[in-house]
Amino acid sequence: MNNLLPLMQREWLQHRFAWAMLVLVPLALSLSVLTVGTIQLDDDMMAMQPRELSLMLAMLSMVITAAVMFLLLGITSLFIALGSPRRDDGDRSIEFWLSLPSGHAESLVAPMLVHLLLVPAAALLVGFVAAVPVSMVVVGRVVGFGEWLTLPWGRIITSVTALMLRGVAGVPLALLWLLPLVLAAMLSNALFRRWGLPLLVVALGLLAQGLERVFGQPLLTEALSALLAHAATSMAGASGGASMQVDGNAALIESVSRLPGWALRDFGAALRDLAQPLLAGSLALAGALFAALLVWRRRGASVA
Amino acid sequence: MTTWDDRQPIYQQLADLLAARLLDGDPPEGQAMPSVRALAGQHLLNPLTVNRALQALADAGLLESRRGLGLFVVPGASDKLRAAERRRFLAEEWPRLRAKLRRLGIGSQQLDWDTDTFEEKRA
Amino acid sequence: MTTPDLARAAAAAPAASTEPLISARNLSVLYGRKKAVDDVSFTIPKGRVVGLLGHNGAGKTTLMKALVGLAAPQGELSVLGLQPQRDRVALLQGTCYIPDVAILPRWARVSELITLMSRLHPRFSAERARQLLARTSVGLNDKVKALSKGMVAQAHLALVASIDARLMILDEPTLGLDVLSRKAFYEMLIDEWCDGERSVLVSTHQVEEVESLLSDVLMLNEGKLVLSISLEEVDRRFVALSHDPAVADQMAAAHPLLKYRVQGGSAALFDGEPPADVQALGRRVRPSLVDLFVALTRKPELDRQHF
Repeated sequence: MNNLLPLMQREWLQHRFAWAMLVLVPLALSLSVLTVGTIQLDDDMMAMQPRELSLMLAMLSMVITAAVMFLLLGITSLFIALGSPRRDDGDRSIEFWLSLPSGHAESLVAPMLVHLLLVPAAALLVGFVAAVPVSMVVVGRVVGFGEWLTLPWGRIITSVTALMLRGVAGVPLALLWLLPLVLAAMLSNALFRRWGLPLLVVALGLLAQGLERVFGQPLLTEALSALLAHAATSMAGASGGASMQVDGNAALIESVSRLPGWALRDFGAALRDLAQPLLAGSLALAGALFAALLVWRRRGASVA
Repeated sequence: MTTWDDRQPIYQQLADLLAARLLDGDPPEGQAMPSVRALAGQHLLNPLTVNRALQALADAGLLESRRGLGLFVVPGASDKLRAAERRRFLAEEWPRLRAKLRRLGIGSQQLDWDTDTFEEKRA
Repeated sequence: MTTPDLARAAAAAPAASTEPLISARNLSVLYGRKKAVDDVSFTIPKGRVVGLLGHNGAGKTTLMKALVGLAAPQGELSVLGLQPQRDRVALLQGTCYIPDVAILPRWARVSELITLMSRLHPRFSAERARQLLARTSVGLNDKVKALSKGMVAQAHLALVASIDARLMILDEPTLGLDVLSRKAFYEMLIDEWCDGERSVLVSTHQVEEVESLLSDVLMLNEGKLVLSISLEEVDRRFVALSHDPAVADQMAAAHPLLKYRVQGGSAALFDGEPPADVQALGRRVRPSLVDLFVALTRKPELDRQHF
């Protein structure tokens, strides 16, 4: 695997401009819209004290900006990763890559690492950082610039960093849960190109129906939903809603201060969640699918 | 790119070409021949072919190999070549030329060696 | 290779001193159910420029793919002492391989490709690549998608030529290049790669142009090897007589190996010197690769066992 890093560098060189656009353009757009447009708040929020309101607005805008950035880059990267086995067909450069001394395994793994791990994690990071000017515009316009400046930034930064780290740490866990689905889609794309994804969906649907008829229970559907649910909670919420302990009467600042603790506990719960036969089984399946991808690439990376 | 005709093997054609140059004193006697690499690059030939050509010239006694230094033009090479060319001319080309002159009715007295003029005289 | 003695020795015992760089025995490659390469055997020692000739679909590309581990072979195949499929990465580290010259990634800049290749190929020299590119009209900052097909080919050749390897496997490397660029490529081939230690296997359609560069030739027709011979042996062993069609019957009576067409008439190829009276009937010509190629790939049923 000694060409893994250069192959990952290829992803950087090929996509850095697109990534920059995906970050800067929505950011610029949102900042402009927020600066010039109207910000409507519901009655509960309007009734809050300026201190509380500014804190709430700051936290909300940060979380939302990070989430949007994550979704935007994450979904784009997901599609890039799923299409990676066949993406060099168009300009026939696949033959160029195959003529270089890189192993088949590392050629398949490099785009997955970059687009399914590094980019989503980086998106969270960038999102939280980019959220600072967003929060400034939102708080500044609704409450006042002075309020924004006098926010308890120490505690905000600690909590926000904790949330960000929770998310970043959750990305590899989410990937583990989604691995068989991702590899199935990649294999399908490798074998059937643009028909791959639709065929996979149809095949899964038929398989789910079939299994339900045979076993009387919607096994596949349940397994798939469980995988997706676990993937989601490995990012946040593995410990359930209870641990949040949002005390309606306590000051918002208290809740904010409790976020790092929550983040740590939640991550622990997400880790414990991994110890399940469902995950073990799905990872075994993922291994088989990766082996199939290797066979496909060894055969010249064309239709098997 | 040098074009090669279909009459002789390419190495032989190169040997003839190099021999013609030797006759003109390029390179002069006692001097080194250009390296195989240089000749190969000049004529876009495989070095093995160049080697065969040089070997043919060495076999004809025109070049000698000095250990570690390469191939050198043998002193007297151009004389040897000139003699050989003369023999060939007199044996092959001259009879043809003479027959043609006879056919055209041109006598040797009517040809001027220095200019291209021809004096129509009665034979 | 400055003394003629070496050449004689090499010609006499091609693989005596060292292992051949490529050794194939009863090699076949299946494409579906069809044999794209059919029971082919040959060796390529070091210091050779081997031309792989054949029409489209004759199996040249498949054979080359098998040599670099991108197609599953049947039979015995050893390249640089390695098994191509099993040791693909190690093999490619010691090989310059061009599967096609028009396949550089379109999104990349030339400088980015140099960066990537420096890290991906242990024998690649970025400095050398920049030097070679400076001689072309390709700029380091150009994007591949902005280059014409010929310039992409020049860039690809420059990149691959910057790999210091013992074996070059080139599939139609001059396709899309103009005359000057082709000439520059041949000059580089002779200057840099003909040092007696490296070998080049090059497939091409332009047989006439490349004939003088070759030391050996492999001719494929419909997957089968119809000719595997050194050019020196062609000169030494075979006699070609170009003759008037009128004496065709007399020629045929002397049992030539091959009867074929040349510019301006017919020709007969003999293994060894034909009798003097037969020789007098025609004019001695050099059996050119083009003529042999046309003859052998048009009529597969001719007797080729003497080759």
